[in-house]
Amino acid sequence: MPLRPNIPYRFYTLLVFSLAAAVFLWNCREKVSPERVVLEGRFSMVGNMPFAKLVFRASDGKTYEVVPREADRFKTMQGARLRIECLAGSVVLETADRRYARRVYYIRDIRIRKKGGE
Amino acid sequence: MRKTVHVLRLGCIRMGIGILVALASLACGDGGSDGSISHSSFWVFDFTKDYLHDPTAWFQIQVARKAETDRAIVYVDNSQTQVTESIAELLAQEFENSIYTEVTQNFALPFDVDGNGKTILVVLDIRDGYHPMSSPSYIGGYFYSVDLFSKASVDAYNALYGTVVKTNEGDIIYIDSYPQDTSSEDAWRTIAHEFQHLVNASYSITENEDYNDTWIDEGLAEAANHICYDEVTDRIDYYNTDPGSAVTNGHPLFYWDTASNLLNYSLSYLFFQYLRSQSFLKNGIFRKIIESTHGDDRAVQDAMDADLNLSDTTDWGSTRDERFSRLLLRWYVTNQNISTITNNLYKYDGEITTLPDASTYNSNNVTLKSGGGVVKDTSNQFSSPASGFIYMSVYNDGTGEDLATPYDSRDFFVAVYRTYDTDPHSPVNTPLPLSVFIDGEAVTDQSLRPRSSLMGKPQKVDFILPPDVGNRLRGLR
Repeated sequence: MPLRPNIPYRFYTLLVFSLAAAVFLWNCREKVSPERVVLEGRFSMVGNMPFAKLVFRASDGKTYEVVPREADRFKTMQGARLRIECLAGSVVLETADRRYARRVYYIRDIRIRKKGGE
Repeated sequence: MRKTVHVLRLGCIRMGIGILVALASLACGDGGSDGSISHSSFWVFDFTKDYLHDPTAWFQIQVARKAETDRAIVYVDNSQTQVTESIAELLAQEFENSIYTEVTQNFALPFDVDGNGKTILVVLDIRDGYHPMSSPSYIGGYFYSVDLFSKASVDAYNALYGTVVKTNEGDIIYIDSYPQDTSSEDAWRTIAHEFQHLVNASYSITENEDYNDTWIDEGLAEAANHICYDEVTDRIDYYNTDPGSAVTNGHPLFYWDTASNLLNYSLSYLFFQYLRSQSFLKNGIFRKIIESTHGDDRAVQDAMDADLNLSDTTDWGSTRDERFSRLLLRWYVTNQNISTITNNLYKYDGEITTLPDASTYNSNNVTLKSGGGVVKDTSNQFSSPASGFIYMSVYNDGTGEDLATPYDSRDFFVAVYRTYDTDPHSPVNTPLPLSVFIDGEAVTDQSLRPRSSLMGKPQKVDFILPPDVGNRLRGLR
């Protein structure tokens, strides 16, 4: 006996596939909301003055911008090989002409876990 | 058929909207000769305030379009009446004829983000707290990469970072009109310097690559200045004054000291001039650095790999790492300007006529930050390397380089803290070989050599100096 004779079977098939697709896409999505991570790498200043930014070049191949409010605390550690624990996220910046999009990775709430050589 | 008609109708509607938007855009501005939108105002900020977090730092200036060439549009703040059409025309022509081609050929192309085919030069009195007596430092000009991004993106960035910055959505360079003389070479050098920043950021954004480290970006900007208008003697003079013995004591190259970075400009400028001098590609080496996928010292290593001279295994070493180490170590020795060295590997080429002339270091240990280095007069054998440092001993004619432990007895000993490939955090202390006697006489204390006093001479950097430094300096960029 059909579940709901007045609703075509096709509807349920579509519903199941839609749900499956949603679950799949949810799992495949790039995690952009900040999450707690441990990174290894070094702090550097990048870009031109007076707008140079403190970044953390991590061994995962990504360069993370340190949010401005925390940058002063870590500028003196430029060049240091460190292990840090932090909240990491990303934001996409579009150029004014919308031709290019740049994903900017950022970190905040940074805690030094280990200094190189220690 | 019905579907086709629907699609066509949709296409027509979209096209109509596009035309309306374009017409509306043109109607809002007075329109450039190329049909581009003309600006009547720009967002700028007060450098004496916290432009990142203080919304009162930002204000708009009303401008007039005063000159235009194939590659530049010059807007002038309406309040700056001393900047006439003829001065604006001179700036535009200088950009067109002396700067654009040199910088785009040797570095990269600008990102024409506003689609007008030109770079915008905005002339204004930058609010930098300048006062001829009490605060004689000023900002000569700046490039702000945020201008290349959309307002929506910058708003999202602000929300995330808790900042208040603004974008003018264009490829723009800002030039100071007071106290800088906009009809002088100073202003043109400022434009060359800032235009390198613009093309450098443009390449990183359009190729989705890492931004260059500040020591590289500023070194290349001064290289652009050098290419367009000859050597930047102010930078070398400042280096030779050795303020507070910072040069002698190993002021770092890689570590950008935001509190007192005038010396960083000098070091970066000299390092990239030495790199160019030693390269086969000459000015072409700069483009290789920008084209590297890396933003840090590996960009320089990539450029060295692409250069016939600097990748020579006989002259520079068998590995990429060794070649970069030699570059650093030799550069520190070269800056000693040792007259007995005839070896060209320790020379700047003829384009630098005011030579750096650093002093040797005398203590028996040193604390250095990333990229800092010292040179000692010594003939002692040394076998106490500290982690993270690279060392070399060399004879006073530039021969007999020894980079292996133990470092044999030579006339000079160089120690550089190169943290990039090693572990310790900076700053780090290392012992050095003891100073010794040569032929029964004490080694000359070169740090006592008389030096001309140049501390009061104007210096240019991109930022505002703290008051204690600013009182000594004028003319910042």
